[in-house]
Amino acid sequence: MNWNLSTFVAPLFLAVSAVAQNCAHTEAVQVREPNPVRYGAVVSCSGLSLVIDGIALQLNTGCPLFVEIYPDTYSLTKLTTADTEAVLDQHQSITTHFFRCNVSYLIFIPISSTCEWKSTTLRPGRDLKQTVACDALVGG
Amino acid sequence: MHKNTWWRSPLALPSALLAAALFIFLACFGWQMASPDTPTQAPSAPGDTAPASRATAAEASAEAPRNAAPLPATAAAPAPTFEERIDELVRLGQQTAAFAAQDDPDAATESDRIARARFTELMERFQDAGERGLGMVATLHDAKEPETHGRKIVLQLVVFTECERRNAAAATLKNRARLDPFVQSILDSLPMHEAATAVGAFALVQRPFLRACHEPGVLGLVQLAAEERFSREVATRLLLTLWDNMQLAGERTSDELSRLALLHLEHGDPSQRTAAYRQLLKDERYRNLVLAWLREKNDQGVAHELANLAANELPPKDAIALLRELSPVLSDQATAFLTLAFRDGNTVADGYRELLAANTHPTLRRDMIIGAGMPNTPLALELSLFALENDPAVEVRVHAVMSLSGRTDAEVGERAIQRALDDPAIANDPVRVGEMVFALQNLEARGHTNAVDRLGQRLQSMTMLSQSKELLARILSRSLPGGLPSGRPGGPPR
Repeated sequence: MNWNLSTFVAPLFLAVSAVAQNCAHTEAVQVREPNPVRYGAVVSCSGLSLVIDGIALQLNTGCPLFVEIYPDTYSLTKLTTADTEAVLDQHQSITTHFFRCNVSYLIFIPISSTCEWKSTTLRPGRDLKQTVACDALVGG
Repeated sequence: MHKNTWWRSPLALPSALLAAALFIFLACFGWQMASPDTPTQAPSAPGDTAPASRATAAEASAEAPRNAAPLPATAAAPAPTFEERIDELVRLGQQTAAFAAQDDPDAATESDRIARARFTELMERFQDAGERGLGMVATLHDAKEPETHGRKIVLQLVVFTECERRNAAAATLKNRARLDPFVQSILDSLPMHEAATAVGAFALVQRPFLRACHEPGVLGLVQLAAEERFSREVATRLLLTLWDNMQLAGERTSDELSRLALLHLEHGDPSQRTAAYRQLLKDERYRNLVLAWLREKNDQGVAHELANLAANELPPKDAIALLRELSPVLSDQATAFLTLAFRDGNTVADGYRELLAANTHPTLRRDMIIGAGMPNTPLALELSLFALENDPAVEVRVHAVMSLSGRTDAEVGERAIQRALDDPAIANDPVRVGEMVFALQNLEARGHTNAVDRLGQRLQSMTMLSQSKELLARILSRSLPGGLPSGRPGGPPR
């Protein structure tokens, strides 16, 4: 067989070109969620003081109809000149806790009113991405 | 030196008889007239401008039986002090709560009736109940103790009721001399500690008592909030209340407040800025200006705050219009739509259908479905099912499934997930399949084990991210025997 340098270089060149063509040239930028705990409208009731999944929910002004917990960090995708791509690493859920005020409105001194957890619903919402070299993606 | 010989005078005998009769009369009836159970002190003139002296008088009156003539051996116990009465009300409140918790409505109603009567008595007896209440609030350091918490609740009622009665008197007499200094005292007490903040906020936020004369006090609290020495939320709400009241009372016109708001919009502290754009949003003429300002700033935090303000306070249709305007700035308005849907689900549902008909704004449609679809109401069910069947945007359909899987009815949730897994746009996308694992977790949280079992089998055979696979395994391990769906090797039989 007649091997020469071009025999090796040509496929390599083609592979690199393919990588360059298919590469999204993006990178993942980790962003800290500025407002990870979001309280819904508050009804007049005793306040809320609760720790759910390690997150302290504290509200002195009444009982929120719901509280949404966003993941602490998420990723944005930014264009770059590097041969990299931001790929999804972890799919994170947003949690909505619903509450109700358990109070008898007949009671004049509402010592008994309690802000009680009612239910929790998850929904997809935030992605964590990582930056991966494009040739690693092709190889993968 | 004169000898004391009055008894020798001609008037001595009649005087002695009169004195003896008076003594006997007082001994028999006088102490009852001043008894705490039959308050004799009529509410004083509302225009009275000397609360301290009147307080002393009230206290003297309340304690008169103890200081006057010696009581007969059978006399009632001394009148309870203000503090003792507050503690009695706490006990009555706890007792009523206990009866209510034991599903004994008759006993709860009777106990509540007594509490109301005792409270009225307290307010009638102590014309300075508000000042005394504030004094007692100062001692509430640890409001988490049950007794202290109870006192806080009762004192909230006392301070608020005091504001109300002085406000009523001020309206009648066109004189706020008794109200305004008391409101100022409340403002002064607010930064003391958490309990004082709670009592003061209960009395003043969204109430008609704050006026222009309290502006420096409120701004002082705003300043403390800026220095992180006072609750930002309470400071903002007090400022909002102040502006509302000043406008309602004609102390500032809408135009004056809007001009002030424009100033704060650019240069204010965060509380002042919140108050500013709320003021401007209420006025249609300024809404576009706020939006333009926001687009220029491109501040996500402010945009979120604005969206929530609109969702909480604007008329629902105006709120929808504003949230639509905000969509280029905000990529996620689910919280705002959820808030709005609690106020008026129909308006959000109409907004969604309108966008769907035009097939525009898929991200807004997604947030509307999250908002209007999540509450456990018939409208939410109908709308989520409609979106699952009809919305061309896969993202919206996924969120419709999330809402349906969060309902108490297991069958609805299971059907929705099965339907989604039949959808090629979801089934062929590992990320979307992973999202269905979140929906499965919703079913798990509601204890729908059989549905988790059936769906688990199907999901295990589908392609998804490794992290979703791990979550699926955890869900199955928590809810199924052996952590495997039925019919699988090692799992229970079908």
